Amino acid sequence: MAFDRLIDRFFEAAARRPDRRALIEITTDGDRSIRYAELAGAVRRLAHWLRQQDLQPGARIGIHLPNSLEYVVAYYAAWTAGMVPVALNTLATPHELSAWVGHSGCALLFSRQDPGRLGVQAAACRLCVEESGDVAVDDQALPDQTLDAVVDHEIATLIYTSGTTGAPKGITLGHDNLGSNISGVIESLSILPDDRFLCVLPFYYSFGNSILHSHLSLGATLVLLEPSGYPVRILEAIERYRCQGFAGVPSLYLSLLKKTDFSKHDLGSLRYLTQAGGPLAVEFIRELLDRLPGVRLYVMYGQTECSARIACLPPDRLDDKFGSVGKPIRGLEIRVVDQSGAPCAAGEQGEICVRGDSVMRGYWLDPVRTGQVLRDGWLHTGDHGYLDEDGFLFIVGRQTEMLKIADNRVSPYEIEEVILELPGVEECAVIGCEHKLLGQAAHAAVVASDPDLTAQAIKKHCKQQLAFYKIPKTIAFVDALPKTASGKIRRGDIHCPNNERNPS
Amino acid sequence: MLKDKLRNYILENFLFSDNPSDLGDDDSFMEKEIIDSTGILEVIEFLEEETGISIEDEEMVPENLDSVNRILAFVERKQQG
Repeated sequence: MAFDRLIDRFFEAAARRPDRRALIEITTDGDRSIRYAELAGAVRRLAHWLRQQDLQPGARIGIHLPNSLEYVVAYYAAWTAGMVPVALNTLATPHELSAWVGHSGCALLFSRQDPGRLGVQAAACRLCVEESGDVAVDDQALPDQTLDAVVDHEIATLIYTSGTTGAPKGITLGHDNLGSNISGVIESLSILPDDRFLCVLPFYYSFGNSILHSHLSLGATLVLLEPSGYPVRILEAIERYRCQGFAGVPSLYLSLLKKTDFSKHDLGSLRYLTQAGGPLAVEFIRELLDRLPGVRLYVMYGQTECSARIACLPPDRLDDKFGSVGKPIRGLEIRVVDQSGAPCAAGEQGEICVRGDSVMRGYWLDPVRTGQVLRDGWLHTGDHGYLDEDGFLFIVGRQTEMLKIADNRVSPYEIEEVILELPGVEECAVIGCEHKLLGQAAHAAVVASDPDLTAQAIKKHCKQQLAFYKIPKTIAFVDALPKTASGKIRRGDIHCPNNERNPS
Repeated sequence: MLKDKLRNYILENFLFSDNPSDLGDDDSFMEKEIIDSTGILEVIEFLEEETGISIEDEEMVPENLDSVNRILAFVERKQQG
């Protein structure tokens, strides 16, 4: 094989350190953990079971599980069996879930929930993994169809994110893409095999996915904590398990800063933090470093289309390159281009483009959208920024109209589509407005044909169709939406309820 | 009365409902998927504004906050203490 796959690195690590704990899962019913030898055994047993099913190599295996032992066993078993794990957002509604399952053609789904309740067109299985590595699969409903699609065996996974049109967008990553990116991340962050890392970010997004593989391919220990809205649990977990590393997105760091008292916890084990998923304001970075003296903070920039991470700012450059997301990680090149596609001079703003081994194969079954972002040998990120004279990248803004609510990317079109389904709604436009807890929250401007339509009825309808964070916090009824001469909605002219402009 | 205000706040902002029977006083917010992890912080902010109490980090646990009755009992303990 031309490249070493992450699954091979995992089995090598398991053979090297069989007695080391691979995963520790913190649950409300007590913690459970599994050692590398048991985990590798569980993965092999489930892979054997998968091979016995009527599935073809390259079959997509849906994983609709929270961060857990089961998630890791299902994911690595799919790889071991030559199949393609597709991790699905556990906060998604049946409406969203069935769109992804249908689009990816999942033949089998691992879930803790009742398949009927999920509303998906795929056989669903429950999986139970014991600390001993014993695996039990509740296989009441096995797939009766074989898949015709022939899949490139080098495909490692599909990751679904919201597209700007609201239609499913399956980012297709090869084993080489992920493997290269994980190697770069391990090097940039100096992750060590003896590290214990606390992970609260969901594995179904690329940031969490990167944390999972970077640690299990080394033989390190991951401590899993479900995000609960109770930030003190994070500090307790770092303290109890003497964790060396922790990763967060801006809203998570804000809730830690606002709602916890670091001095009440012994966080002496902590060596480093990573932060990505959008900018964390300068004053909060300073506060974080003040309150955690000696801890190194790595600011990172990434995109799922590039496997996970693109750039990293080393802690020793935080002071002289404040506000930068750093330099490309190993294996990647960055350039900034103007509207004509020509490279910009240092300091000049343009679109950020990336090239290298981590860049995706494309969007699943979507050559049109793939062609829009993979052009001239470069991934066009849609993000705006500039490189300074030393080659450090600074992000200025995002070209797309995506919202970022509690660090989830949300398409305004997706919310609009749902609101427009409601009788009595004539037109609708959704924008992101500043929200002190969520970063952004959705705001909908609605032109109603039914004068009795209430904001509450719209929100209730959204609750049935959308994940909770996507439900508009505020709704304004308007006579008409601002539009261009050609009839396109001018989102920039829709105002947030507090009359402030939509922050771009 | 705090109980009515709290119930109305949750019905209005998380259940989008006028029907009081949609929210049981012992319903677990997490298990019944009434409030997600970001919503808990909004509830805490509401409580701090309504009651003037300040909720400490070690108090931000489901035992204190995961149902209407748990919140009321918690606030009462805080106000007495």
